[in-house]
Amino acid sequence: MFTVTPEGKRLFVAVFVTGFASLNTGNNLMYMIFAMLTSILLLSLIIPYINLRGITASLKFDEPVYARTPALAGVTIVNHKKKFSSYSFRFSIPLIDDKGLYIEKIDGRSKITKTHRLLFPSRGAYSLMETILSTQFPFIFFYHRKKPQGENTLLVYPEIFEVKEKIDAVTTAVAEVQRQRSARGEEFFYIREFEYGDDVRNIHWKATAKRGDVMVKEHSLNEPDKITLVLDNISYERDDHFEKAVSFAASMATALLTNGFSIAFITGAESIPVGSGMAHKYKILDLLALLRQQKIDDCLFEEPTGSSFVLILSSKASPLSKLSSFASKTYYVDSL
Amino acid sequence: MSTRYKLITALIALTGDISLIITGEINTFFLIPGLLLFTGYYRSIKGFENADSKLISTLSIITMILFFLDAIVISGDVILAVAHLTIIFHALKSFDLRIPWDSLQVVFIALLQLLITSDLTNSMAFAVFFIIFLVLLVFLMTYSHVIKENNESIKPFIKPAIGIVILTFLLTTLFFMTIPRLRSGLWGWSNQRAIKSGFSENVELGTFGEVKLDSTIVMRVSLEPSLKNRPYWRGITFETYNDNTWRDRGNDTRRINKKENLFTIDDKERNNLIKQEIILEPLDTNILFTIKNVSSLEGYFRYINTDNDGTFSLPFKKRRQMKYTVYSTGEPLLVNESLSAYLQFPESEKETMQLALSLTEDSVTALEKTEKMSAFFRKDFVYSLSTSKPPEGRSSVEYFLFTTKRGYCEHYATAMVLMLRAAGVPARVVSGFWGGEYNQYGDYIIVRQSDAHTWVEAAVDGKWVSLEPTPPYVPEKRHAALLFLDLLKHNWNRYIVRFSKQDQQKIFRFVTSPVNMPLRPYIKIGVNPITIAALISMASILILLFFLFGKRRQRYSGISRYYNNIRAVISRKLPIKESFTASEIAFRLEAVDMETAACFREFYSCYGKARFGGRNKREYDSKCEESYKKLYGKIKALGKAQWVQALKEHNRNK
Repeated sequence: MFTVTPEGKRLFVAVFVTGFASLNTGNNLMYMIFAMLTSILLLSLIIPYINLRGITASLKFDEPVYARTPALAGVTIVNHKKKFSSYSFRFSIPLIDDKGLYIEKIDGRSKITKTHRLLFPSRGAYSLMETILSTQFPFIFFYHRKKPQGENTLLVYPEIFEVKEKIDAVTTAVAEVQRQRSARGEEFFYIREFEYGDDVRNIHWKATAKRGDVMVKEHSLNEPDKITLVLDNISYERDDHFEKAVSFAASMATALLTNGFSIAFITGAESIPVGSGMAHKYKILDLLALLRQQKIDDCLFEEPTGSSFVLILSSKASPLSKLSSFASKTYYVDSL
Repeated sequence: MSTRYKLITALIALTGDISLIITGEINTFFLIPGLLLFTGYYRSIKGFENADSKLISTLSIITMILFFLDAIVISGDVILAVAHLTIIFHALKSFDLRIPWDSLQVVFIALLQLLITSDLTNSMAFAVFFIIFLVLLVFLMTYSHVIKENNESIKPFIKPAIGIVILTFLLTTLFFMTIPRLRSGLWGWSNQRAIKSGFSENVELGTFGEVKLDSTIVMRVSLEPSLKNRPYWRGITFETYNDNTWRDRGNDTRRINKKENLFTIDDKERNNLIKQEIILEPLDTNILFTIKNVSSLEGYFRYINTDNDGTFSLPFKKRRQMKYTVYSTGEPLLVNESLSAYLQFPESEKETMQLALSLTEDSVTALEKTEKMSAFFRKDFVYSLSTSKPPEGRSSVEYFLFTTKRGYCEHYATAMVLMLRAAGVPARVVSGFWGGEYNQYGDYIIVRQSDAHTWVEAAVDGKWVSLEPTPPYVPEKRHAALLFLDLLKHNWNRYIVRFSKQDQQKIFRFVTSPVNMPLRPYIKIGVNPITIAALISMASILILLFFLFGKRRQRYSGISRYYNNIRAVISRKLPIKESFTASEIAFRLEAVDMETAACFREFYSCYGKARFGGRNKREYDSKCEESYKKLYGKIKALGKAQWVQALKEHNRNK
């Protein structure tokens, strides 16, 4: 796909004027100038096309990606052309990184990998099929853009922000509720397969030896460490409030899990049973990354189990606000 | 901006300026402000601050006023005035190079200068400036690209830039050879200065002396077959002589129209004729020079004129170099008219009459008389270009015949014609060129102003026999290097300046000869070529306007049209530039309504997937349409107050 730049438009005018002057006068020296400008015009179209031909690009993230948080991506550019080098082009993702990563030169049959800092404006699933290679080389008259080969989808998690004060408030509130109950202590609950983020100290070596897969012990934690997060996703008047609620829920969940709590997560039509550890965190973040607002009729809210639950509501007018009297803590997004 | 970038810009400006100067048409007065170019670029390269923009603007206005004065009063020529204007603008711009793209303005001014140069001269020096300009232009444009990408170093791009220069040069050559040519221009005129030749309908005796001192090349001729004797290039004939002046009465001038690309005078077989391929420099005459007894003539003229004297001329003077081919027999012309006009004799030349009668008293036939006359001029007469004016009351011919006995062709021819007429032999003076210098390197003859010649034709036995009364003289021989240089000039003129449709056909024949492709059939269009050209021009203008200003949606279909429509709708409400990306638009929309902005993002995501999404394209096509309708509805539903509020916020942020 080619786009004409303002300089390119001027070149067109110059070609037209020179062409007309040549035709009008029949002067061969003017035809020479016309031929030169036409050549430059043609090369401005052909060279960028050849420059990007045979170029493929792929994007790889080593760390999870969060919205509005800089993420480092490994960009691998391959030039499949046999002899020709490619010069001065950009690899970019529309809407995310319009300026893109600049590649000065890549020789024929070679590969380069560069680290590129990206900032995703919002959570969700991004198709990396939308990446673009663009170049103006060698001149400044046309932009040539093309989609490199290769396809991938990237899940961008909601933005995580600092919620230390809120966590302190939640833990205090939960502790207050729990103080009135007797603690049952830590008990062995069941054995499951190892997941990313599990503490290696929890590996059940006998079961691992028997099954041939790494197995870990899951404990039934103390009552005060179990918290259910309930996120209202049905009654938002403003989209930015909903996004704020999702980010807040993600931040709370991340902070609570990091502090050793077990978390269950409930939203309009989906729920995640109680769990802990990094794998559980990403289960919740996966859900939150793609969470959409729903109509109240589509929702099947599960009643929060256990005595400690935290409500995240759009406002006091939320239909879920009736639960607030049972909750350890209730947050209204419009007043956060 | 880097120093190198400024240096290349300066060189482009300098190339444009010097190319104008070599035409020799530039007024020295305008070169003085043009010299400021050096100061301007020196300051710029050394990192001095730009000149005050108010000062530059004021000077630009003064320059514009000067331009009008120049066009009307000083030069009296718009083209020259524009040339002067560009020189001063180059100088002003050198003090005011602000952003990298200012260099583009310098390039376009230099391009205009090159166009003017091409109109003012055919000199081979143009080729040198053209090549320099091409190389600098490619490097500057590559450098502009490098700077635009925030990459200050051009080093990695030098090799590809050299390759691009070579490619541009090859493509330019290809385009130059293949771009279709009209037979001549449309309404254009040339500003080239014509060579003062001395050929006109009235010639005063003695004017050729000045012309013969001039070594300017008038024409170059390729002859086939080559001739043993130095050829006479016939121009104009004169019949009437009075008061030291020869006049051409235009003996039954008639028009010859072109038939099948050829002006045919008679039906002689071309193989037996002398073929003369002539490249004539712009002269201040409309005469076509030929070897005598022309059978046919080929050239890019609409029609030509001829008369009974065998003179050929164009309907008007051509101020451009022109090429034509003549086929002549070289034999004497036949007398097929009344000869009384060729016996006209001025009453004042009594001594000449007596001399002629005494010389020919024993002779009976015209042939004998002509021989006597020729023998007379071979005795006691000396060829000389330095002649003195006759005393008051004395005729030039008699002063030459009886007093000085020194003179050049004009004197000899005039004297002989008058003496022949006095002896009853009809005669006339013929003006043209004689001989020329053979260039063995290029196998052609160089004819100069100094080869201008006048000789005699006498009616003998029903034929116009050429007589040469002028004593022979040895023409100046030039150095081989000069001849070689002239060959280059000749080839430049032949293959570049005068490159024509026929040359294109020859190339086409050559290229297609291995595969025996049929030649392009001769198609004659019964419409005036000017009408066709006007139609083509109008169509080109319309295409250009469409390209530059036509709405994008007219050029796209399907989902691209949706995207462009959305951009167009938003741009009516918010200040959105063409260069804005979708994310920038979404960002601005957020100030209006978050939901609409989210909707826009969703639409753009669908658009991207549908447009570039490969295998899921169909699925996303319909999704894209849905999200387009949704977004369009949302944008339309937004109140005016929201847009105004967003606009205010935008302006405040700005």
